[in-house]
Amino acid sequence: MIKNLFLKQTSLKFLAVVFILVGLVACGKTTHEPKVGEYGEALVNSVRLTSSELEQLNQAVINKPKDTFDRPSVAIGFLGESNKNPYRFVIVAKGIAPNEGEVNLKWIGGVQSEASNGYQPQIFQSDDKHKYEMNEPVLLIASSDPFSISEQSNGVHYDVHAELMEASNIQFQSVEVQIWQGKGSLYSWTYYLKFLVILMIPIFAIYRLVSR
Amino acid sequence: MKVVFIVIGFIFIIFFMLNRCSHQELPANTQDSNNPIAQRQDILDQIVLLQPLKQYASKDYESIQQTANGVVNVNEIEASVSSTLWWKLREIIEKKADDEGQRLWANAYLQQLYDAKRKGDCFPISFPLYSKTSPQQRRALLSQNTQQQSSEALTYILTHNGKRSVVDRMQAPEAWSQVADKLRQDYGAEADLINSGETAEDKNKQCEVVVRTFEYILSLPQEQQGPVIRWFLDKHISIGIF
Repeated sequence: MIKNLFLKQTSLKFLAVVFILVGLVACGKTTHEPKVGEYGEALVNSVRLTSSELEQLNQAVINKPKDTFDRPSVAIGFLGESNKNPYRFVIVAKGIAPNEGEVNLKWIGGVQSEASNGYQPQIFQSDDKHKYEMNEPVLLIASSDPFSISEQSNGVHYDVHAELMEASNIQFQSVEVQIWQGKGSLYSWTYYLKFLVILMIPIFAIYRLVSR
Repeated sequence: MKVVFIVIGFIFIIFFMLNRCSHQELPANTQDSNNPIAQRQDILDQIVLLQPLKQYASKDYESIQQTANGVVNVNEIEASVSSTLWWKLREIIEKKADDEGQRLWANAYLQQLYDAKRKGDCFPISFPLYSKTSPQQRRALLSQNTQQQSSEALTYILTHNGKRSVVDRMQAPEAWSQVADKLRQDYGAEADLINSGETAEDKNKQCEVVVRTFEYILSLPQEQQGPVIRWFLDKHISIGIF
């Protein structure tokens, strides 16, 4: 009787954990275009590439540029205001996967003010591991880490550059470059909940081991 | 163990609450009202002389789009775009257009002058190079019909490739002398107002001279018009973006 009750309670706990995990996975990860609040509170600037620029990108996917300086690039400008920190640079690429399998898209770039000569390069890439069917629509979001500008740089013109570093199994149909401003949902409740679950699982496992 | 869970849960709630409390509520429709791509496109769609390029000169239109994309402040897009478009249209109308295209443009320009004169502000149209008027202000000077006529003339130019008269920039075509003589008869020394640009004191009189010049040019026999229009459009800038 006691044993049955114990088993019942354990199964209920197990089911609860499974439900939470499935719920988190289902709610937490669906690729969609950036919405207000995800990458920032407001869209500061946004540019959609023209068809000749898209053509250049598609050409670079087929015939990979041998020279680093031949890589097609995208750029977007904005006026820095420190009270609107942090900023984030986002690339929204839509297209199709010409072949079956994974799609790879990687950019390298950085933020440059009008007063500086260069920038600290960083990689922008989407962590999409989905196996696409042939000609399946693709939506990839690559974003920079949030970055801030100093008070002394208020009103200074900034540009974010990104060069296409690697791209495979994608035919671009549209590419939009965006600058978001303000805190994004990186700090939302789902982020904390995921963090909590990740923390709790090993603690629970250790507790079970130790208590035996 | 319970204590550990409670402590971690408590920390989570504090972090969550801190984030919630510091979160600024965004006004409704933020995304719609602050869509830079749509705003930029709206501005481009309002420029009448850009629409024929959108339809018939996609490469040129794209370069205008790229100009617009490079401008950070939305309020500066129109100025930046109209400057690029102005250079492009000068190249197209003054150099690439065939004789018929230039004749259509000269007719449309004359209508622009009439409209602006009626509104009592001819200078932005008669000398667009010197006038610090925005495309929006120029549009306000012109009737819908005139805007349409100018757009159609430009469409013709972009879609036709007919005969082009050959003229020497430094040598006025023979038929020009008839126009010049008539201008001298009508205005005497004031006929030179057409060359005085922004320095002319009497802008109304100056506008009249420009109007009359185009009227005389367009009343020449058809076969004489081509070289005169081509030569004169090279001297007198007739393109103001609206």
